This record gives sequence, C-alpha cells and structure tokens, in this order.
Amino acid sequence: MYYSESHNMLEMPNWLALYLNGSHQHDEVEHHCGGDTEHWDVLFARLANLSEKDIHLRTNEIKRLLQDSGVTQTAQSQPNWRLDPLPLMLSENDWQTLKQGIAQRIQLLNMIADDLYGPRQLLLNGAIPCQQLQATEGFIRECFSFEQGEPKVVLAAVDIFRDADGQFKVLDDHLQSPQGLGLLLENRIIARRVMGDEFSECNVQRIATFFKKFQRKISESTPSLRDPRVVILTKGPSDAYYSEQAFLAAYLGYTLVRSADLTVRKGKVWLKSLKGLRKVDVIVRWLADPQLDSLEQNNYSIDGIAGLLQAVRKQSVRLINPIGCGVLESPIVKTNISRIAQQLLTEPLILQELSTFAATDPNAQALINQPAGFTLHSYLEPEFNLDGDTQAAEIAQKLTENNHAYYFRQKANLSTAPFWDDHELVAQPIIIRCFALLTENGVEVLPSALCFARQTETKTQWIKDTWVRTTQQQDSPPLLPKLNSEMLDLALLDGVVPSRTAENLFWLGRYLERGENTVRMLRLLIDRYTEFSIYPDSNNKKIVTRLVDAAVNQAVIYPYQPYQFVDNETMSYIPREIAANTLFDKQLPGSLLNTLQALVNSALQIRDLLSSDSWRIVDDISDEIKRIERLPAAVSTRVMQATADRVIGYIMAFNGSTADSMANSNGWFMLDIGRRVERSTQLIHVCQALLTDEMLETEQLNMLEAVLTCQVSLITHKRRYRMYQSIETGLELLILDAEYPRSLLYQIEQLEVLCKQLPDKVSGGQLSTHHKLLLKMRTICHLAESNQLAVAEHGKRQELSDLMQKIHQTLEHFSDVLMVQYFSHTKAAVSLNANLGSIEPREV
Amino acid sequence: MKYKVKHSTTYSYSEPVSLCQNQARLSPISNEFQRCISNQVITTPAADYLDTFVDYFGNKVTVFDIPTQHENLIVTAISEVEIFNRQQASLFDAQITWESVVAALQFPVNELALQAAEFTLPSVFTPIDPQIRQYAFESFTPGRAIIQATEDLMARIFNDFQYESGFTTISTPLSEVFAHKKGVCQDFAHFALACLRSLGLAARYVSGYIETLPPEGQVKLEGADATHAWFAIYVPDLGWIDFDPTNNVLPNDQHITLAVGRDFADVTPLKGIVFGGGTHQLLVAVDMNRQGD
Repeated sequence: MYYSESHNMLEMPNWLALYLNGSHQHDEVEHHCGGDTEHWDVLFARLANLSEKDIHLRTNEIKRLLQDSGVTQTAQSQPNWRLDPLPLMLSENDWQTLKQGIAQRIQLLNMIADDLYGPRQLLLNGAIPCQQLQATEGFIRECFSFEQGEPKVVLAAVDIFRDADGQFKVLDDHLQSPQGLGLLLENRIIARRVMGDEFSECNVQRIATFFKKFQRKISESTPSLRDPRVVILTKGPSDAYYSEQAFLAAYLGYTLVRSADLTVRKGKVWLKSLKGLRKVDVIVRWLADPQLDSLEQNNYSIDGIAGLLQAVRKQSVRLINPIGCGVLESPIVKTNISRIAQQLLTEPLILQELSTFAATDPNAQALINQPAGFTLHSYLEPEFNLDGDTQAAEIAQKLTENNHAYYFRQKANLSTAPFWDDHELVAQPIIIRCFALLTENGVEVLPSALCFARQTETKTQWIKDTWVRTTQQQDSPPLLPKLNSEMLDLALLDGVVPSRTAENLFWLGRYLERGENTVRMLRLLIDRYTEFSIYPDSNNKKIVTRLVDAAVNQAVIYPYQPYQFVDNETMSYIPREIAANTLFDKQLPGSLLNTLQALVNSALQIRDLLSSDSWRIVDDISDEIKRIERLPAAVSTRVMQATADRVIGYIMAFNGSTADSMANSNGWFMLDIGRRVERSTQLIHVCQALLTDEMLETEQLNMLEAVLTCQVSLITHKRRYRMYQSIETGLELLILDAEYPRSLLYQIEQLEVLCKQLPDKVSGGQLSTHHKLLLKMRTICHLAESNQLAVAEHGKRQELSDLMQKIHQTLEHFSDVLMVQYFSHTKAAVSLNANLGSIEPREV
Repeated sequence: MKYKVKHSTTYSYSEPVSLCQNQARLSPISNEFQRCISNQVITTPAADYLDTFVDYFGNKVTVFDIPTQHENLIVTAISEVEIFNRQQASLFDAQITWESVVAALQFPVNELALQAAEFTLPSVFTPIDPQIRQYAFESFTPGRAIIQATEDLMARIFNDFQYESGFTTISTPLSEVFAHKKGVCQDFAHFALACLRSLGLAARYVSGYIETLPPEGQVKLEGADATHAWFAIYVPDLGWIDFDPTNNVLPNDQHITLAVGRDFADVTPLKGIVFGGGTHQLLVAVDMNRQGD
C-alpha cells in the first residue's frame, strides 16, 4: 500500500502532502514502507507543525553550520556538499536486513582475501578467472612477502541502493579509503543540532559507540603497546575528502599526517616532529594500495612512504586497512561474488549484486546488439563505462576489439527520497553508504548511513543524514560528539608537532603579518595620493613620489628589494595604478592577492588544527580572494579602501581567534615566530627605504608620520613625544624601544622568548646557533644610540643604514638556521628509478 | 661448474646525499639448475640497517638504509654459485603443441601452472602489439611443438636484430626496438616476452650473468663481464626453460640466474630513494670467474 493512501493527507502540511501526492516511480516514503510506516509517521508528525518557511530557515541554518565545519571548502575536485533538512528514515526491519547483509559481506570479503593471498583455491577451481585477477592492479604481489592471517578488511564502506522490488543491493565497496565517515559524523552533529526535537522523538540509534569501538579496535590492534601512536595518513588538500579526514583526525584524537611527515628508518615508521623522530604504531591510511611505498612498489608514487612495506613486513607498524584489500574492490571479484559466496558461505547472500555478464558469456551475446538497460564496464579500467540506452553503437564497436576486457552490468533502478529544493520537496534517486568495523566480536555496523543523491551539474552533492529508528530503550546516554568549534586550535593530543606542521605554522604567521603590512602600505599610498589631489603642494608631492617609487621598486612590500631613491622631479607613475597593482597584480610577488593566496594555502595544510571559528575566517579570506580577482583593472579608490578594510578585519579576527588557544596548546609559538620575523623584516626595509635619506625638516616630519602611520605607531609617538617629535624620537620608538610592542628590538626579544620553546639541539649549557643570532641582534640594538642614528652626512643616515643592514643579514641567517635545523627533513625524496631512464643500471 | 661473481655498482652524486634507502636484487636464486653457495652484499658507506626477504617471484631482496652523508655509494655483491648440467637434448623430444599450452594456462589446475598463468599477461615493458604478434606467428605455426617454435623465435631474433649498445635506453618503447631491429640483451628479452605473451604463452624475464672468455692468448680484464638478461618459457610438466636470444643459445653452464620476474621492473638489481644528491652517474662492473673444485 502506498503511503499516501494509508494516511490522511489533510493532516499533513502542504509542502509534504504535495510530495506524497506526486507521482513517484519508486520512492522511499511512498512505496518502501511495506505496511510499516511508523518510522516516517513519527518524523512527519513532528514536522507537521512546520511551515515551508520553517523548513527554509532550517536549510539555511544547516548550510551555515556545514560551512563552518569546513567541509564545504578546499579542493577543486571536491563537490559542494548540501545537507538536506529531512533525514532518510529506515525502519527497524530494514535495518536488520542491512546490518546482517553488511556483516555477512565483510566476512565474505575477508574470506576471499584470505584465499587470494593464501591458497588461491578460488583461482584453481575457477570461481575467479585467474588471468583476469592477476591482471588487476589491486592484486598486490608484495603481500606474499608478509606473514598473512590478519584480516584485510577492518573498516569498510559499502554503497547500497534499494531496487524496485524493495530489496537492498550492493553497488560498491570502499576498502582502501572508506571515505565519508567524517562527513557522516559532521552531518549527524549538525542534524542533531537543527533537528534535536525530531531526533529524540524518533528514538534514533546513536552512532558515537561506533567511533568508540573504532578507537578501541585500533588500540587493541597493537597488543604489545598500551598507548600506540596512531596517525591518519592523507594525501592532503588535493584530496576531495581532505577536510573530512581532518575532522575525523581531530574527533578521534589522532595526528593527521601526509607521507612527507613520515619516514622509515631501520624497518620502523617514524613521525618527523619538531622534537625529532617519534615512532608510529598504527597508520589509518586514506591512500590506495599501489601508492603506499615509493621504494618497493613499481609504480613510483609521490604520496608513498619509502620503505613502508618493510616496516609492515617487520610488523613494526599496522595499516588500517591492511595493504591488499583493494583487490576486493576489483570488478573481477565483484562480478563473481555470488558464485564465490556459494563456495565459501553456508548461506545465501543477503545483499545481492546487480546482474552482470562477462562479454564473452554466451548468455550475453544478445546484449551486444541490444544493450538497453545495461551498462558496459571494463575489468581493468574502473572509470570506463558505456550506457546501453544511449551508446549502443560504441558498445558494439568496443566489443569487436577485445571482448575479454568487458562485462555488462544491469543498470541500477535507484529508489528516490524527498529533498528540499528551494521551496518544495523533490524526489531524487539515492544511494546509501554504510560503514562497518570488524571487531573481536564480529562485524559492527554503524547504525546510520551517508545518503547521497546524484551530483548536480554545478557539482553540488545532495546528502542526507540517515536515521535508523529503534523501538528499544537506548540505555547509554546520548553521546553527542563535540562540534569542532568547541575544540581549541592546534589541540594536539599527544603533544607532537610534525615538522611540516611547524613549517606551515611558521609560514602562516609570516603571511598573516605580510598581509597586514601590505594592506597598511596600500592604505598609506591611497591616503597620501588622495590628500595630494586635494592639497597638491610640493611637500605632499615629495612624499607621494617617494612612497610610490618605493612601492614600484618593491622596497616596502615583499620581496623587499634593495633600493636607492633617485629624485628626478617628475612623477612617471599614476599612484592609483600602483596601489591597484599592489592589491591584485598576480605578477607582483608581494601583491595582497598573492599573499592572501599563500596564507590560505598554508592554513589548508594545517586544516585539522584550526577551530571552526578560525576556519570560518580563512573561508572569508578565500571569498575575498575571489572578489579581488574579479575587480576591474580600473578599480576605484573607494573599492580598494573597502577591500583593505575587510582584509585587515579578517586578519585581526584570525589573530584574535587563535590568540585564545595559544596558551593552551603547543606549536602555536611557531606561528608567532613567523609573524615576528616578518614584522621585523618589513620594519627594517621600510626604515631603509624611507628614512635613511635626509630631507628638509617639514618633509622629514611628514615622511616620518607616513612611516609611523603604516607601523600603527603614530598616536603613541605623538602622545609620548608631543612637541619634541623628530626623526630621532621616531627612530627611537620604532627601533630601539624595548618596551614598545611594535619596535624592532621588541620583536627580537620576543623571538628569544619564543625560541626557548624550540627543542634544543646542542648539549651542555651552550647556546644554539639561532639563540646566538638573536643575542647578536639584541646586542646591536641595545648598543645603538638613537641620536647617532638620526645623524646624516652627505644627505644620508649611514649609521641607521648600517644598523638595518646588519640586523637584516642576521635575521636572514636566523631564518635559514630555523629551516635547516627544524624543517630540513621536510624536503622531498628523489627516486633513483623515478624516471626509469637515462642512467638506470641496464642489462646488456 | 662453480663460479665466483663480484658485481659492483657505484653511484657518484653531484651533491651530498644525506640518506638513502635501497632494495637490491643481487643474490642469485637457488633452483633446479643452480645453487647459491654464498652471497654477501657490502656497501660503502656502511649500512646501519640491512635485512633480506624473499619476494613474490622467489627472489632474495636485500633492504638497506645508509644514513651517513655521502657523495659516492658503492654496492658490491659477492656470490659463489654452483651450476648443474641441464639435459637439454631431451627437451626437443617432447612434442607438446604450443596451442595446448595456451589452453592449459587458461585454467590452471595446480600451483605451478597458476603461478605461470600470470606470465601470459602483458606488462609495462612488454605491451600487446599486433605487429609483434604477427612476427611471433611466423615461428608459431599451427600445431608446432612449443620448444621447436621457441627455439626458432630465438634464432630469428638473433639473426634479425642487431646488437647495438647505446641505441636504446630502458625507456625506449618496444615498438621502436622492433622498428629498428636494434638493441641490447634487455630489449631482446623484452621483445621475446612480448611475442610469446601475445600468443597467450607464459614467459618470464631472467636477469643474471654470462661468462665471457677473453680472446685467445689474452688475459681477462677486470670488470669485463656484464649483467645479462634472457627469457624463459613455461611448459607444463617440463617447467621453465631458458632461452638466450642475444647469443642464440639455451643457457647451460655459463649463465647464472640472478632473479626472475615479469619484466625488468620486477628484477631491478638496485633501486633506491635518496635525499639530496643532485644528478648522479653510475658505473657497473661484473667479474665472473670459474672456481676450482
């Protein structure tokens, strides 16, 4: 019976009744309740009070929350997730079937793997055609050099759909990287927040236990260690699922790493941290089997870790899932799975696959000419498929070439579910992705699923939370996972800062400061040329000319070129254009656009360490980048000012957001080191470029005022020196005042404090190189006399220039030393056989 | 026959290397035709970690790390190998048609046949090529005995192809080797594999050493021997039978097998990952000398 026939539609709100009265082919609500509609009834009873407007508001709220959690951003390849305000409801009966079916499948998959990497009876008795299996990339021969016995499938994702007859069927298994688990968790957190009442009313099964069991499983996987070090290995921001991996790492309390963070020495895996190498015991890897080891495996992979398989062989590290599970995803296993099940299981498969026929199968011959209702796939190329309804000619053509390589698969007739689209519910075909974990007590299936609809043309992926209703009392208290925003920035649980993370924090600090400096310089330029257009006197002209000239020569913005002002009385630049270039010229290394881009890239690298409050700001900066890129070449001064204001706002907000967490977590000092190095660099160059030349007194004061303005020190200077303001007092404040937070000396002293947190690499009371360099800079500043700095001879303040020069060189050296001592092992490895070519040893 | 083999590989880098991690296949395998009496892999600078394992194809792999900064790396393998005499004349008595071997490989019934089956598949260095298959068919006429047909193929490669060092590199595609009919032993072995596999036969790549004798009256020069490569074909009940297309012989007591695999990629004698190093140069020297009993 249809849902709409058994229920009084008049009691439904209009938006719901409209959907239920619509004509759907094969819908989760309408057709698949099997008389048991209670799970939907409970939900709808709650929703009945909601108007269209309410639903719309909820949709927006969800959108905001999802964006805050960061899953909506990052890689180009990543779809734009859109979480629907209505969950997918599953009845207790349906769930029992799914649960048993998935558990059975995981067990079967493990039995297949045991055989394929063991006695290979399935190949000898023909259940799986042997040559086709041996040809698949997923058949990992390296496994034969390890001790076998450990199950290949520990954590699995299975894609399932409901066929027209109401039966659930399996579409795909994801074993090498069971993506979507973090996304599901985030969905649940958001859904519970927005639909808390409905959630408790529907008595939905909780999921937190699953994650607890996952953690337990991991700590038990290394019996000899009580507290193993666990890392989650990701490809990084280029991976479409990077943000969910970061989320999962933060939630589970594991360090998120990339292959460059790990190294293998003496048959063990180590994490390269600021404090040196730290042994890794378990790697939860989001990386495919053939890419794991760049030394041992034949296809050199940039994401691989040289020597990883040797560590696996020595059992000094465990991979989850173990290497080799990928073969179970291969079409040759999937297309034969019912036959295999007959051999290995004593019971029929609960979850069937779609019918498939090898192209060589006599039963498939009719399909070659009449492939409607089927798709053609390749055993070896997973991406290849031709649609029998629209590409019949191509199919016939393909099969004349080499029919051994292909098979037909029946098209899936997906059931639909209601999704909220703008102002109404629309039916969308859905797939659900279920997750399962192999534990000592059998297979644990996560009582929810990630429900996907088809991706739209705009790369928007509609998703739903899936609610499994239970009539049983849930005695465990509702374990609500924590929202990311409630966690502190950089809350590294085991206190280890990977070197690459430290390096990224250092650069993030530099880019934040550089961005701020650039904006302040930009504002100064704009202020001064606007003023000049109102008061075009010679004093103002001199200042504008010098500022513009210094900007054009990149002396006061990154990369801070050495520069000598030559006064030629004519201004050959249009100041507004120079300001605009400083804002958005991609060719200019220090343009605000380039700096912001670098800033966002560094932030992405440490995605897992940022709270959602901090992340939202990065998100805003990304939006600002897009806005800047769209600015017309002839951008108006007003628009530039507005942009500068916004960017300063974001940077201030980011600094504020991260400042709160600083005291409570390790690693942030690297960000502060980066910031202070950049601030010092910028200050040195501004003084060099703008203050070393002697000028007439009024001009000199005007120039000093400009410099103080962009150093945010004008008011302090005025208050402190009142009527005695001079170049001498200005230099005193900007360079030598150890108490003043924006002075050069203050930055150096702060760096000394911050560097105390770096692990020392020298023994017995000696100073390390970087400490010596800081001490040198501090001493130089302390010994300098402000009145001497102000003295000019032949129009130049030589003493000031020398001081700046000396500090600059020492600072550069300091920065290099940090790189070499703390980040150097982040450099990439080179394969001697990466390009099998030139001087490879050859056999002759 | 007993031999002592010294195989040295020297890498010279333009910039210092801070760390290198390596895998070497420099230990001769033991099988029905030979026995590896002793084998040692020595590196300069010394390795701080050295371990061995046996890979999927039965080759012994030496794993080592060198964490000492260096500009030159020398890896020397010293092995003593005893070679047994093969009864090759009787091979030609077996009149097994090549088609029957192809059929048997489709449905392997025992472990050995199962292992052989995957050597029918194309590989990176031995892709499927219709023209190469055509070349193979000239030797593999219908109903011909597999040993005779393979010997004929070997002889044709020996006669049709010109041995020319430096004409090809490891990345030269097989189609180009075929077009110019020039190359070195590695190319000939890969070409023969591509021919046999295109027919559905199982053939494997063999890397090893061959003894060279100095011209009469001269003393053998140090390092004059070379690494060598040839192929082997699988025949049910007979097992793997070696053929050397570079010399047009069935290897007997002058060939030492180092490692076997689907193609060169599986048996690379030395591979590594280095940190630093810049560009590098490579020098290989092999000495293979008969030992008194």
